[in-house]
Amino acid sequence: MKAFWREYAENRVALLALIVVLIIVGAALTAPIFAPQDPYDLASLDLMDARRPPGFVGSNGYVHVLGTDAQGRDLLSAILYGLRISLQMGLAAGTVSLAVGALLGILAAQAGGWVETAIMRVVDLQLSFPAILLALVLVAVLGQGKTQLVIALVAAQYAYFARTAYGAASAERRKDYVEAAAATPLSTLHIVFRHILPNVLPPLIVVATVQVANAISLEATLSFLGLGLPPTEPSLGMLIANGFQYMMSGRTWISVYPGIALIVLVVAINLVGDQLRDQTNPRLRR
Amino acid sequence: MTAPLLEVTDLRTHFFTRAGIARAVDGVSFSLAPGEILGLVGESGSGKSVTGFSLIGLVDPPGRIAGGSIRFDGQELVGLSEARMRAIRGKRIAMVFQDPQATLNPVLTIGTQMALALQAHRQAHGRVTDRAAAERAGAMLTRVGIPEAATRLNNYPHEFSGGMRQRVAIAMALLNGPELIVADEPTTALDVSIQAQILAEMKSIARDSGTALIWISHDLATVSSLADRVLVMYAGRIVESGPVGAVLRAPLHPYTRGLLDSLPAMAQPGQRLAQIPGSAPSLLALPAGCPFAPRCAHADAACTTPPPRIDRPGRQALCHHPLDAAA
Amino acid sequence: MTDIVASNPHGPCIVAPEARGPCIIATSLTRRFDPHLSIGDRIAAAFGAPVETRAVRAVTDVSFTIHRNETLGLVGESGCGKSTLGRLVAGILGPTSGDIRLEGQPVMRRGRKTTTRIQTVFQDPFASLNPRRRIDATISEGPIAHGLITRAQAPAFVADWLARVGLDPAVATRFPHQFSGGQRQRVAIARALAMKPDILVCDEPVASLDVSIQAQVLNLFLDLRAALGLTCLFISHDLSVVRHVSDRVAIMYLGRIVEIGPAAQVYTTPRHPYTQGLLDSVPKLRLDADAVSFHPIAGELPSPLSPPPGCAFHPRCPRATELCRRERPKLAPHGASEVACHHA
Repeated sequence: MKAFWREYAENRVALLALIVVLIIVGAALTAPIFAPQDPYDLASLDLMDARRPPGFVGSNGYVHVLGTDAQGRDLLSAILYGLRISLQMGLAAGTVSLAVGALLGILAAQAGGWVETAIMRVVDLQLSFPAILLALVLVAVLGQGKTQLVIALVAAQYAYFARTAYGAASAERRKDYVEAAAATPLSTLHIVFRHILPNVLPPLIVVATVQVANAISLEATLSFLGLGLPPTEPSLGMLIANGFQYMMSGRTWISVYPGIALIVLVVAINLVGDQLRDQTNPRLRR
Repeated sequence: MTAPLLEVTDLRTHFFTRAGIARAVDGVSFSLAPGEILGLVGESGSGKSVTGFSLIGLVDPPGRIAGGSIRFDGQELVGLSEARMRAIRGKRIAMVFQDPQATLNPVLTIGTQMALALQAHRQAHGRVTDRAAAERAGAMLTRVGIPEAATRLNNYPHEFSGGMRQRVAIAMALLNGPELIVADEPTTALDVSIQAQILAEMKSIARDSGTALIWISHDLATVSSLADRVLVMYAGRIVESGPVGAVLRAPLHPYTRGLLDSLPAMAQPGQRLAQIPGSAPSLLALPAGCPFAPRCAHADAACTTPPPRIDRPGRQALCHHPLDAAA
Repeated sequence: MTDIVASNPHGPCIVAPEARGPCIIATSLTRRFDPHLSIGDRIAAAFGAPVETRAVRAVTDVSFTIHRNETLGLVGESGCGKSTLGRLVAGILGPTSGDIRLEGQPVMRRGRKTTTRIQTVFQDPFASLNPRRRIDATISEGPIAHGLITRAQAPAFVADWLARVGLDPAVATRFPHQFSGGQRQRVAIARALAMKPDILVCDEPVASLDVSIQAQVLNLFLDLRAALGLTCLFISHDLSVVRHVSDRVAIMYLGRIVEIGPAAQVYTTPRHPYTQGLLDSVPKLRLDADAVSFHPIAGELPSPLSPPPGCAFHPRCPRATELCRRERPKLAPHGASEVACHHA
């Protein structure tokens, strides 16, 4: 484990990315303490302060470091709270997708026959068209709300996990140690949970890292299109959408700062995921 | 006595890893006469393969030749530029690997590959026409025992069985009439009946063409049935060398003795084998003095200092207590 | 690697197997592997695409008996079906036809192994141990799952078995990658024997080990076999290893047993031309100065997809006649052995 981190730290870019991710997560977690303003508290908003540029001193004495949005919310606070929502959605969708995908993938690999064919054909079908399309349809049908959004994201993403889990589990179950367990004999459930699952998990965790980033950008896209969360709890995507109409009038900060936050977060998570993938890929190991 | 074809002196090939310097080959010296078959025997990690790769200049980083000299036909190979090395490798020194896939390109026919190998060194042969190349390639395949060689030239590597593929690799190695072939465990992955065929052919090829052969193997029996002389390696050093018959009949080094006695063929069926206790030391943390001392029944206080070179007629060993002196 | 193999006492080793009746009886075992064809493959095959639709008969009509306290050696070259036969005996694979019984009870019923009395040691100790489990869990999981020990008894149980296979009990909480090949094979042996089996199937247990380590593991095997009174099926391509540990030997060629008999007889007076060729092919240690001559078997192993008619060995056999090309020889007694050859 120590060696693993030492190797990780040798890639400066990945190390920086990890630090950025940790800072963003830390900032999001501590937002209620450090954010200058509670953007959900509508009473504290003053429309007089709306659409002010960065550095503007508000009517209530706040210095709006990144300016304010159309509702007069402090943009820095809104971004910090938006990150919370985005990370929440990303992590929830990633974790549930991981569980669902791993279950289906391992089931397909273990059961074989028509179960394998049925599960994997559906997965392949889904992988062959854009995830956003399915998510859009589901959100439109299910309506707005955090649970509905997570369901839509999971439905759009579990297939990646199922593919990876299926591939890894198919490879693992042919290995001698699984055969040795079957020869003892141990029950199939025991073999799946004690032997196959722990060996399938590492590649899934790598996929999960990247998929959390994907879920965040997918959620931002849905929110941007107005199909995500209710406007009272704006995520990064909705902040960008809200500011979009003012882009032409020169008030670019309302869209640009949340956009930068989103890009930095997604790119940083992806870089961490890439490094994890490279390090766990035995073919790339020296 | 003719001048040696190959003279290796104090060769040291080290791997500079994060965990420290692994002295995979540490002070290896030997020489090889033209047409001689030399067996290089050792267990995994003994440095036998790294020695072979050092000879053809194919040591991968983090490994490199840290010192010593390899003189091939009077020319120093250590420190030679990659371009000059390439001119020698494949032409005058050829290599056969354990896995023939390592040398065969899966998307080209055998005939194409052999023609390319011929043309790569064409300065020496003058121009090689396609027809001449095919003829020579066909003759080589026949030489290594592949039937219907002319039609087999149109086959891809995957259309050959494992044994046949290794024959093709050997034919490729022979193509440019090398003076030395370095073979690294070429029959380890093959069945005994196929191994026997290849051993018989290698032996007659070496005899007929006067090609010198370094046969690297973990199997004493294979080496003993093929080689003239044997080098026994342990922890990066040659612990014993000499004519095969003499070394196997009366080993000087306790490790050679132990290796022989470990073979089931040397024991009564069903009886315990004479085992060497323990396992080979890590190359990163070799014991001071003789590296075999911790496993050796003859070891004493003297063995914590580097072992002296014992010279017997035609033979050498690195040991404080050579077995012929013990009695 | 630190030296964690405890010194092994060089005690006397008794190998005096008294054949006390049959233990394992295999009758007409056949195992076929059908190619895994998708719908697309089937359609392509119907239109004449080069899709392999033939089944591989890895083991064909094999019958044999292993007596109690006996070790039967199983020898053959790659692709001869010896590993498949080992998996059939071990209850990892079910036979396509024929059956295999342990003291009259079938080893498998409805695709599931019915007994814990047969355990297996695999060839590659790097693959046969779960890389993400500590070895104490690897050794104790079978006995716990089958109620041989309780969870509370496991640490002492594991320590006992590690000591018996010559490992320091303090290494119980290590992962497989922290061991050398020989040490891992000791762990694999401990895992198999911890189930208190009567029959041990060893599939090339020393093939991946260095010579000096191979001797250590073979000695351990001989010691434990004598101490526990094990009955063994010992599979190897290495004729000298099989000779060393076996009471009787079976030689396989292309899915069938061509010769089976007492080890001493098979090795000194082989009757089947294949056995003779195999023994002649083994490189011998040259202790005298004589030139060595090889008598290799000509030709190559035919594809198991299309075995030759008649005697499968006839294309490579110096004694083959018209009869061999036409009719398959059956195993017939020759002295204490049985040989499948028209000209034995």
